[in-house]
Amino acid sequence: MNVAFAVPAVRRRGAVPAALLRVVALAVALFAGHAAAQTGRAQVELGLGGHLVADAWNPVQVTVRDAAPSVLRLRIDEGSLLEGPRIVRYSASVPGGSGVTVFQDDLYVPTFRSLSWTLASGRSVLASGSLGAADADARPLQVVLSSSPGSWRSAFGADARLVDVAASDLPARAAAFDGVRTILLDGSAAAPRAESIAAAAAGGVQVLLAGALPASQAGLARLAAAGSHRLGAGVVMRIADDPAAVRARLAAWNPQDRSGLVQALAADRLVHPPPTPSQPLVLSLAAAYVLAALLGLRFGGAPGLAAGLVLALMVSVAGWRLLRPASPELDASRTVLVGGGELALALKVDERLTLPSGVVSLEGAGRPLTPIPYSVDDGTTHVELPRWHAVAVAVRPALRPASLRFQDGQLINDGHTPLRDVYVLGLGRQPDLAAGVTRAPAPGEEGGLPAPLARLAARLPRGTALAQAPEAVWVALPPLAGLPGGRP
Amino acid sequence: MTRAGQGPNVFTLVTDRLRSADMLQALALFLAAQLFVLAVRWPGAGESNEAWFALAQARMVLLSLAALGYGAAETRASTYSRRATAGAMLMFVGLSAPFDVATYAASYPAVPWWWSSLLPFPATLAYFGVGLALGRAAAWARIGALLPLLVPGLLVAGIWADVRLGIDVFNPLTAALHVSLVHLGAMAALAAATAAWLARPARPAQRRRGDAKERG
Repeated sequence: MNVAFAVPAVRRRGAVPAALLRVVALAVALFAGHAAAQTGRAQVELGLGGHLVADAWNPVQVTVRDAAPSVLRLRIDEGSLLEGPRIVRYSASVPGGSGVTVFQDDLYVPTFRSLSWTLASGRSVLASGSLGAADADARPLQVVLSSSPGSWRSAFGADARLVDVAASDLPARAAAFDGVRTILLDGSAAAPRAESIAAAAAGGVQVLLAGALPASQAGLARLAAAGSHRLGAGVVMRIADDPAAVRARLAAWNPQDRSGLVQALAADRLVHPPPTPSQPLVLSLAAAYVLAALLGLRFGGAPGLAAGLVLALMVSVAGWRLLRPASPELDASRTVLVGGGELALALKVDERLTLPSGVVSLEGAGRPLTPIPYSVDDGTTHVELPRWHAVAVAVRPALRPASLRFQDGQLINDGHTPLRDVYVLGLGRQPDLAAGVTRAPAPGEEGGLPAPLARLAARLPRGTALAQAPEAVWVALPPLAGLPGGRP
Repeated sequence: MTRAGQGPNVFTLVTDRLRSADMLQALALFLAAQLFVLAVRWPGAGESNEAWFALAQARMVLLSLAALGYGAAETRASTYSRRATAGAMLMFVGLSAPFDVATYAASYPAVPWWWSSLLPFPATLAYFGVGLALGRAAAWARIGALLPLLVPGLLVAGIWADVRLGIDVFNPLTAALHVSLVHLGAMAALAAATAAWLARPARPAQRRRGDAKERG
């Protein structure tokens, strides 16, 4: 890690020697562990509070002061000794202007050999830095928001990656919390925004509210007013103000395997190559054309040659119209929305097949599910592919209002489209749910799930409800209290 | 068909040339070769379609070889005969176009369609001109008997020179598969020179023979 800092030279008699200051500053830089580099005008922060998590989506924040528009560029080498370099590039335009400008985004960081970034405005570099392979830590973060985080240290295991993050550093985007496992708040520190905590929980984080929250944190208290409950792919839990209670919750928490769900979505190909006419048919037509052209030429003289040329033109036009695929690129997508309560985490896989070789561009930031170089440029993902190859890209997770959810033991379709293939794991098949319908789950026929749902079901807890909408699969995680009327 | 003071109609000459036994057999062989390539390279269901790549290369090489060969063989022929043979070579390009167009459509290569469709015309004319020059040089050196070896040898030498020098000027194998302005420039220049050579007025004796042939 290269962290740029400057220490003013000290020449006055009796002042602390400059060398000692440099040593202190170096120690601070080494122990800070923040992936950040800054100058007077710009600061780049990678990861939550500067803590990167490998193989996860991480927040990126750029703060510039009184600077012209600039471009943030990251270069990540995720290759290996055997494979050689495999480069992932990321670039984003950062607006400038007078005053402070804050740019925020989310970036998928794979396990890397090296990672470097520059923030440049024209030819001048405002900030830069780099990380080595030793900084690629895939352990999830355990975030503690407390005025005395050390008092909670004993609740976490020795190997836990416990970080102390300022409440104001928490973004309000679900993808930014992909690398976070738990957020613990005890009400003693400044309160984060309720939106940030809701986004974290819906993104799959276990949010623990320890003890009673002060009145100044009413927003958070409202979030947990209903007690412990699911929110999106995660949970919000009220627990006692005691490290033992935290330890018990940490041990019991089994986070939803979001990466596994994405892999299940992409298990079978979504896009298939265009159909090709059979070889006998093509050869028969070609042979007929050759015969007609030669016979016309041999016995027709000049008119025969003219007719042969016209025939060649007609066959060319017909061949083009029949054999040319409608588009050089074919795409399809599949989404699974993991819901709990009123929010759902959308995990989407886009698959693009290109017929000519070239760079395919997919709207939205994403990461290919196969190990190939790619780039993300201002929210668009680019992948270079050979001919007739497809790539599946996991799109950055996002939040949506939940259509399928449990409430008071009832299964509700809050959406505008009917849901079919409704299935509750442990109970069996349920009748289709029309839009706006509420129905209590009841024991039904087991098995017979469509293949995409069956693959997802293998990664979901008992009591989860699954249903198919026209363009997505809805998943409603079971209430924490258990499924009413469920089989033991 | 023949106006006073002019040679015979070019289309008629080309038709007659194409209907001659050697040319008709060459055309049949050329089209059959493309049928063979199509049979070998057409994919099965669900496979990527790579038929165009093999067919475009085979087509360009066969056209180059035929144009070189016929050009070399026309050294002692009349201007009308040369024009007719050059026109017949261009008919080879036109009559084989459906193979190129259909496989191009199905294979969806990154090369633009106009490159694949238009390049064979100047390239064939260019190689025909090179063949004429080769035949004349062989006649001058009194090694005309070696033309069956010199024709493919010249093509191989062009490919070898391109590969050795890392350029893309004469190689018909690579020319078909990607746009090369150098190759296009070389072929266009040679084709223009060939066309200028063929467009020279025929000598009176040749013109009379052409008129007689037209009347007959």
